[in-house]
Amino acid sequence: MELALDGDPATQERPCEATQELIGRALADPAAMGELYRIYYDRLFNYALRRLARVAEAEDVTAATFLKMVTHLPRYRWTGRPFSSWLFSILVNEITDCLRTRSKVRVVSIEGDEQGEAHLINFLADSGLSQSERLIQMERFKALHDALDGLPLKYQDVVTLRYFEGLSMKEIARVTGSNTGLVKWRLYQALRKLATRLRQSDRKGSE
Amino acid sequence: MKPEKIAQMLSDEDNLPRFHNPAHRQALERKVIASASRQLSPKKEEHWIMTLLGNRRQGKMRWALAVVALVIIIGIMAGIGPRFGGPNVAFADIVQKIRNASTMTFNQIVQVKGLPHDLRIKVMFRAPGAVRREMDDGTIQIQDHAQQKLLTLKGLSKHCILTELSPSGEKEQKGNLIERLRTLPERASQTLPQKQMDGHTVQGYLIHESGNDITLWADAATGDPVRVEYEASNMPGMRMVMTNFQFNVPLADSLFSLTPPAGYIVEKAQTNNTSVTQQDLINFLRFWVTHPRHKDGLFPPSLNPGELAKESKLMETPPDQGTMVERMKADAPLYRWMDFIMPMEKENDWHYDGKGIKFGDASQPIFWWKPKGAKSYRVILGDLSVIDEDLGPAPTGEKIKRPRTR
Repeated sequence: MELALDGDPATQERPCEATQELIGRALADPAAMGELYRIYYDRLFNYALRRLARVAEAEDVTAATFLKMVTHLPRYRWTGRPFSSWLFSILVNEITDCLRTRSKVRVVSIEGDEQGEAHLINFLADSGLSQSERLIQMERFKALHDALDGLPLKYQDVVTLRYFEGLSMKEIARVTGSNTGLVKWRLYQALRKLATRLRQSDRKGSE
Repeated sequence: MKPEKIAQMLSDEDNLPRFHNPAHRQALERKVIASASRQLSPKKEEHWIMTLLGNRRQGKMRWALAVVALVIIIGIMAGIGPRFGGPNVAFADIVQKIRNASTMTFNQIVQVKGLPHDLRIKVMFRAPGAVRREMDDGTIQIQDHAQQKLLTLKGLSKHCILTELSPSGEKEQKGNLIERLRTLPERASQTLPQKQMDGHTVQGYLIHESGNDITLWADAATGDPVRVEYEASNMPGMRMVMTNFQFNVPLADSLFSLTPPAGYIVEKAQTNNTSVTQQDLINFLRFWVTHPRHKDGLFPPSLNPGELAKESKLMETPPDQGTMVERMKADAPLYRWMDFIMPMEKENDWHYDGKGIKFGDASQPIFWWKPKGAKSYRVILGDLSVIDEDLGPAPTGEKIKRPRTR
């Protein structure tokens, strides 16, 4: 049964034939393109925002990804690879470009960091959590994000695709254009590095 | 904190907020649809032209298909058409023919992605282990496994090198193409459809061994090998093609003589093929990052010989420095590492991840593999130190279910 699916948690109700059919229609019908967009928007935007932790940047890379989807869709060929892998490979490239630019250009933000965090809270989806629970969740997320931020980008890619998105090793290899052995190794290394970083930040916090 | 704990933290929904941005979602949707409409509109105008062209093409295609069908029918009636049946000769018989040949000659083409031209070699083999290779640049190599000697003749400069070879080990045998042909398994992994090749109807056989692919095309009627293609997974970008096979033709003793011809300057050298180890790879990586051409100190972008061939050539010692043997010795680190990687098998699970890494960064793994029989991986780090690392129950197999974000 799983083989017949797109392999995409967000579209698990959509068999791959249905995705293929929709892609076929999207090539000739803008409304179908809109349908395709609606299926993947939340997933891609969430991934982008979890990676970048800045709303404006997440909006930009998500927009760039979907506009590229429109431009490059005629060249997309069904090879058994989930459509979401194709979209994620575009998004991951956009995020990499964004982070590289960020490291080269010092962005002077009008908002301070704290205001930025508060800004991020405004975009939390309704999950039934109370305001204080939301704050705690954001704090935990910030600690994880800070630790992730210090990793090389290729390590960040595998960790976030694995744990934020739940992709399999094979899917991550497809998205990042590598192989499962390399993904496995990077993931293992990344987790070790993260463990060290979090241990260090714990120590600093307790001092 | 253990990596497993970190994995758990990263998977924990309580730590991962879900975001929602309805304003952006709506605005971007309008943009996406508008962009799709813009992209489609010019195509609609030319659609009828493309349809017409398509129909014309289809018409032509139908005629072409009819002509092809007719030719095939006439050919079959005349007995000259392609054969559609299964193999007429057993693969095991072809293998025996190669294995039992007292002599074998063939033309070998080595294609390396990134090199401007192919390397062409005329190969002559005489059992049990004499090989003569005539390269297209005039270099001739005569190797005798029984005598453990290799004579390299450079005709243009009238130079020759007589190399004492060490006893050939298992590793060297695996990298030896003739030996691979002579030890083909009795069964092919896959039988390929018949086709026409160089005036023969040939039957294809794919032999997949340890990640290496050998495709053998043999005459469907006689079983004589017509063409062999070889691709090693350890050497991506490199392909060897062998054609013009002849078996059991008399080959003069003089072709395999290890006596240097009169008038040649003789240099003597020694090799030690069996001792190729991880150190040779480390030597190569060090040679690369400390070479004056690589002031950035970055490791090579890959370990693909084809990709590195051009740069490696530029890193060689200039011809005006030292004797041929001295230059060979100095440049040995550039090439010896290939003998370390070449015999590696799928179980060794080797990986290179040095692209963009600077020499000295001990936190970055550059190359890792699983030595035969070992439980842990051996890792070469960015400072070229070596550690053994047990990947253990890596957080890999488990499935993580993410809730839908919609």
